[in-house]
Amino acid sequence: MPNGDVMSAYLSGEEVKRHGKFYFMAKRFCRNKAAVVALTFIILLILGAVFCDYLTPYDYAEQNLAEAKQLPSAAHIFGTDDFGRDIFTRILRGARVSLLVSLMGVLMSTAAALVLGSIAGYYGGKADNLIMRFMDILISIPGLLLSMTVSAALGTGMVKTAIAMAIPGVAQLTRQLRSSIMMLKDSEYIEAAKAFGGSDIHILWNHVLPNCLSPLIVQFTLSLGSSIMCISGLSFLGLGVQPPTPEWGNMVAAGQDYLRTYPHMVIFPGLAVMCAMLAFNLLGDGLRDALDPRMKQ
Amino acid sequence: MANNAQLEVKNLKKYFPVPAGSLHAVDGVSFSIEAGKTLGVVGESGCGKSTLGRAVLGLNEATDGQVIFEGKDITHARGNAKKDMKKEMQIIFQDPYSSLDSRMNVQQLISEPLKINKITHGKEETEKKVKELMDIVGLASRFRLSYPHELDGGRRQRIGIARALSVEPKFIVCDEPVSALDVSIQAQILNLMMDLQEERGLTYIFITHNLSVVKHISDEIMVMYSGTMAEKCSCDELFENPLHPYTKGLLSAIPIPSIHVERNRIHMEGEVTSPINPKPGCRFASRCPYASEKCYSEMPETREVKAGHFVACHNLEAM
Amino acid sequence: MSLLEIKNLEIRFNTDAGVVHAVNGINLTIEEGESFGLVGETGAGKTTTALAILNLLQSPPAEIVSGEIIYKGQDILKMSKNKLREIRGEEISMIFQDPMTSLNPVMTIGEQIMEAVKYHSGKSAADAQLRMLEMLEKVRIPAERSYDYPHQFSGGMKQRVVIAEALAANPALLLADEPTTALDVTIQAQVLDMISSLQKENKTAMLLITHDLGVVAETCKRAAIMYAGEIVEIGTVEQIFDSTAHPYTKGLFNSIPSLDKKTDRLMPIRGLMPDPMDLPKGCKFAPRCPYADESCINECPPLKDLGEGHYCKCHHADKGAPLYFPDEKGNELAYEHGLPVSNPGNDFLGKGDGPNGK
Repeated sequence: MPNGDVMSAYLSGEEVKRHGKFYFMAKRFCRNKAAVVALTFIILLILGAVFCDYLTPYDYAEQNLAEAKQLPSAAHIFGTDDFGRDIFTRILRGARVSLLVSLMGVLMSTAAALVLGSIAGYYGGKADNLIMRFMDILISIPGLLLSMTVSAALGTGMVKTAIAMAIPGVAQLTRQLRSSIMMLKDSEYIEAAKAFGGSDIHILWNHVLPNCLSPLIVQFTLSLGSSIMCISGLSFLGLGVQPPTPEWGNMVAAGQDYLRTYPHMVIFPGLAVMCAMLAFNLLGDGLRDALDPRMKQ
Repeated sequence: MANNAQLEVKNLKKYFPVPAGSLHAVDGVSFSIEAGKTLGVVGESGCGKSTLGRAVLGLNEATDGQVIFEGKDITHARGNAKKDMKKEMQIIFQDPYSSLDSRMNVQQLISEPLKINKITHGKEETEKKVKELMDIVGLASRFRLSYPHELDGGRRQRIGIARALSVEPKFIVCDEPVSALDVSIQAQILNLMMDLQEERGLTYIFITHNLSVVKHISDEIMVMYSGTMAEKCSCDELFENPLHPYTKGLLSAIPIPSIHVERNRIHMEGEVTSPINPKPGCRFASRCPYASEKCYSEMPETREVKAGHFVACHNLEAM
Repeated sequence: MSLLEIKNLEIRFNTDAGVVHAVNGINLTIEEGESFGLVGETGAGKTTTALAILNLLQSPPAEIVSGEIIYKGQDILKMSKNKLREIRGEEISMIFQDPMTSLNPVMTIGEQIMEAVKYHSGKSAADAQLRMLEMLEKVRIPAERSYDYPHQFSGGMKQRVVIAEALAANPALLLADEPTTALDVTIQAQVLDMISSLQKENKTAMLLITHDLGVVAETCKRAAIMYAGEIVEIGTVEQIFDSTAHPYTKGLFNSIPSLDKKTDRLMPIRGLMPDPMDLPKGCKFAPRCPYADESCINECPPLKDLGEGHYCKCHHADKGAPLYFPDEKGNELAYEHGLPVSNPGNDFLGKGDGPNGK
């Protein structure tokens, strides 16, 4: 489109210098209202998870059978569960587990993907073939099923659940990284670095990976959302985080017996999962538009 | 002439495997350059001139032939020999937009080769050297922390030149260094490159498709056509007395910014033949007005028709 | 009456970063059957002008602030959508720089040319096919290749297909935006010759946009030099090449290495094109001009009439007497070394940014 070319020719230079790259990124991000709302929600959720012990007067584990199964009220805004525990407190506390485990899981899969994707994308050839065929196998197994299998084999607990989460995520991230690297590795500045005698590690670390960062950040954010979903799924099935540690999935599981009589016990944790996942997806979309404005068209 | 040559290239070939067979990007090119001189390499897109430059530097390893730099065969240099060679021989790229990592600022860009080759040690020394290099290529030090996208094409190309100079090479392959620039900026960069050559005794291989630029900067010119050398001679000789029919056509096709030049354009019909699995014979035969049967069956030998004037054509006498 | 008359056209782009003044009050006329060259460097506003002639600028961000583009007595900028559609392609057509992007990769080239014919003339399929074959013959592409797809053609041939498509409806005006920049010299020569001969044959007027003065010298009768959104000099090719009046035009000529004589050193225009968001208030070229004085910095020069249709936007261009050119030895020196390096406004001499910190 000639129009676009004209514009980009004008937009470089002084104006960008005056404000810096970050200014334009933030500006583009703020234009996406949904993403701003999502980011606010996530920040609130994180704050709530960190300070949950101070935010509500109730303890997440202490049972109080006198107040069991109460509907939402001024004292318990989300009501109480079958043991009389405040659901709001438990959701905040559950966020701590969900966020932490999904962050650990996604960090693990990203680390693995960085190594595998770099080797596959940068060196290509046999290593690429081997790694990518393995990833094809991973991707052909449904994610939740794979996580369940790994989780069942490893047992329960936060770190083990995180590992179970990480494995299906590796394939997606590796593919993404590999394709970004393959696009980058023929660019002239990589060739320039080679002409100066730069080693492969130097080139990968200084030129290739920093330039793959934006798609990686987006994918990272989106993965956080889907792994929250996955943890809840595992916990719901009794595989992930074990009671009494509250987790949104096991809260739903605990509440399902009372679905007809006390639906709030299922609705609120369910809503929490939905909102968290939606927020991360919206944030991911917003980041993509902000980091790479060309993708929007 | 081979005695005092700094760089000697013998029968260099670079083939790329493609699905349809083999792409003969460079097919048996030989030449030599004396220290401190400029060899211009001209040709149309796809004639293999960039591949030739990269093959000389070992960025694309040659399929066959030899590259001899200061008496050492560097065609298949490995390890330390390769690293040493890269300090002696550098490259300036065509596109100052894509040959600089957009995430690095000027300081980082220029210090990168210094750090890789351990030329400077410590932050202070590196910064001093960067400032010195910026001074040499005419970049104001206030741009030290600017990013490439904030600068215009001319300044970006100055960064590229500073990077190439940072390792203090003797020999630089300039791959279309001014083609992406507007004429007024192009002239600034050409002047800079010529000054640097004079000051530092650099040897250039100057690759371009722009004949007026190549005439301005070169001592000798090599005309390439579809991976082969058509003609090579001194700059003046080429423009006064071109012998190869392709050179003649090429010279007549340049639009001259003057309204008084009466010219007889030699029309070259058709297009460049594909360099994938080429047929034997002269590559230019299908477009050549003088082509005879021999041209289609036999690749012409490169002949020295005059001292320093090399031509590869069967029909010189007939023309 | 002229075929096309652009009056005081001013276009700007409203972007997040600020207002880009792309075209700043240009006037030009193109007569019927005439070939007119519009010359300038990247960002001078050439393409924007051409797009405005077809009313193809996207708004926003583009905004036509003022001016008229009068084609055969009617203002294009005020035309209805239907009327515009009639004009585009049938009366005025355009060739873009990159032939790869202006052809549809999933249609054969024959279909594409026929589509152009049918859309505008309402001819039957058989007539359109005849016309298509006629056009292919004119651009010297064998008829049997009409069944081929764009990717089966080389760059030069694709551009010839584009030309055939653009001229198929027999337009009165052809806008050619750098039609040969992406092509090799020998192919460029073929394509330019073809455009010129077809243009003469059909009496089509042409606005040729280019940065190459050589191309203008060979193809055009009249030309305009654009700089920072303004036409700084306009006249016949003879006037512009032989009695160059504007210092920028002269600078362009000096920047091109000559093929006729050996020059030791080029004389580049120092500095850079001004930021189109922050243009100098006086003459736009003043910060780079070796002859600039107080009046140039403070006052925008008028387009002076130098006689016989030769106009120049410079305070120092007087009728018939092209002043101040660095032809003589003394002026040449002044041109290269004349400005004090310490002057912050002139920090960008031909040699670069000047010595650092000294």
